[in-house]
Amino acid sequence: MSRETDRGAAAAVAGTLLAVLMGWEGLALHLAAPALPAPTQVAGMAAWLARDGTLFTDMVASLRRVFTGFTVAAVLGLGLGALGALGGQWTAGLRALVAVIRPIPPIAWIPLSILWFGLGDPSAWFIVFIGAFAPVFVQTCWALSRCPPRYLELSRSLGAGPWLTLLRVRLPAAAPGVVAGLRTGLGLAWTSVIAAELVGAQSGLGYRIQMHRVVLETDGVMVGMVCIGLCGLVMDGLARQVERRLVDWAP
Amino acid sequence: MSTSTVIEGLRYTFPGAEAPVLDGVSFQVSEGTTTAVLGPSGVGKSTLLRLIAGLLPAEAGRVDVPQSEDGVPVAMVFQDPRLLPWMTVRENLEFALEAAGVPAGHRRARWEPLLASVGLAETARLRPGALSGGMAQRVGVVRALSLNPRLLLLDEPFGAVDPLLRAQLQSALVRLLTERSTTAVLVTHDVQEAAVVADRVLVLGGRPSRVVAEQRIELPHPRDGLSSAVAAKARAIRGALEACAPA
Ligand SMILES: Nc1ncnc2c1ncn2[C@@H]1O[C@H](COP(=O)(O)OP(=O)(O)OP(=O)(O)O)[C@@H](O)[C@H]1O
Ligand SMILES: [Mg+2]
Repeated sequence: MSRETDRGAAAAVAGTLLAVLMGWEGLALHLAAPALPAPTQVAGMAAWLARDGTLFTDMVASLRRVFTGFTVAAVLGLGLGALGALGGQWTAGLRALVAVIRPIPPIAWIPLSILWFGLGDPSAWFIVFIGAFAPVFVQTCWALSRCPPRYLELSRSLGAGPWLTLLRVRLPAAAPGVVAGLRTGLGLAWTSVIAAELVGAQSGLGYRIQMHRVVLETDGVMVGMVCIGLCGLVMDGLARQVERRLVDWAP
Repeated sequence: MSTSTVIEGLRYTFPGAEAPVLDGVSFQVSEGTTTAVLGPSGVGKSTLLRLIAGLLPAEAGRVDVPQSEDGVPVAMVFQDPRLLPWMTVRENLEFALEAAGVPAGHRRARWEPLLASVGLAETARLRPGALSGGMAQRVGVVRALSLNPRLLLLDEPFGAVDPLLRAQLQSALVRLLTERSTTAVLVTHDVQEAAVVADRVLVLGGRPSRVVAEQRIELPHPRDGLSSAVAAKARAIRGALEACAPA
């Protein structure tokens, strides 16, 4: 049953992909050269960039920035998020501050970031941090402050103290929400690093897109775009695997 | 030192509600006996148990539970099984003992025989998600009993098991309560269950509710649920329930 539906889904994905590629190829024939390169041309460029090694080094450069910025965002987001949830009225200011900062997109921070950190890695780390921090904070805070009352009542009826309740009831009950926040944060970290590299970096997939754009190599631009999409997909897939392991009890 | 549990003049109003749910609920439970509490749905049976357990603050009245030397004063079996889904059955049971201050090395001996006595020894390594409703309820009962409570509060503990198993669990419960001379308050909808398990039956009714009827059941344990003496008692309890039900 599930094997058959899996096969059906795979066929549907392949069919849609094929249709899009054919439509794209057809459309490319009718448009002026640099506006829309044909998929075959993009594939050729991808092969060339892969053989030449730049595709790989750019990918690694972007991933390293994501790793650094996301790690800091995760640590601070988890810590401050927990503080926000457990601090009650004392941390209402912190929660309000994050609520105001959250709607500001990471790109809006780029001008300040370049002024503060210059053109280079620290600036990109900061943008990645900005992108990933808010979802981790908000989800951690939300999940921790929304422990199902029936579990808290049980804990109280057993005579568990605040520490034991925090450790064995509140934290595990919050785990699914917290992990979901980390996964969202990772996804936003990836889109933020590309934004940061478009403006203020000397390497990475975003930087490469920008370089190709300047010389009107739209096929190179599209190689970068597809690569960003695929990397994001793989990262999210891995994060989902980790999520399933960590909170395997969640429905 | 008093050895009965004394409940006197309890009143409780839910926040935001106009009238109290319970007002003037008084009764005593002598040590080692079981009192069944019956009454229509929504009358306040679960609320009464929460007040006795100290999970809700009584607006008026008092609850006196004798202190216990080697166990907790009160343990509660909730109407829903309330097992923590991220822990295995074993971890759920050990968490309760940890909260009660039982040292790590002594915990296993407290829950293992009890779990076996309700036929669930094999489930220790499972998560609650893998148990049926009735199995989970039994684990909830084991968790409360393992704490050696002086007073055990049970809120419809066998609501989700089939009649045959229900009869077995009722006699297992009676045996365990007698062995440990545990005092118990059992909320149930089942008049026959009350007649098999309890030494006394209280009926809650009215608005706000209080104890409106009382029956003693002076039959020796173990009782056969199908015997005519138990059936007669069950009929009498049903009569008392019907007498206070709104027409
Ligand atoms: N958290 C709550 N807030 C407000 N009212 C409540 C709350 N919990 C229960 N009540 C009300 O209190 C009354 C008693 O509820 P309770 O759960 O004690 O009834 P019960 O006798 O246990 O019913 P049942 O047999 O269905 O379990 C009900 O009328 C219900 O509407
Ligand atoms: Mg109830």
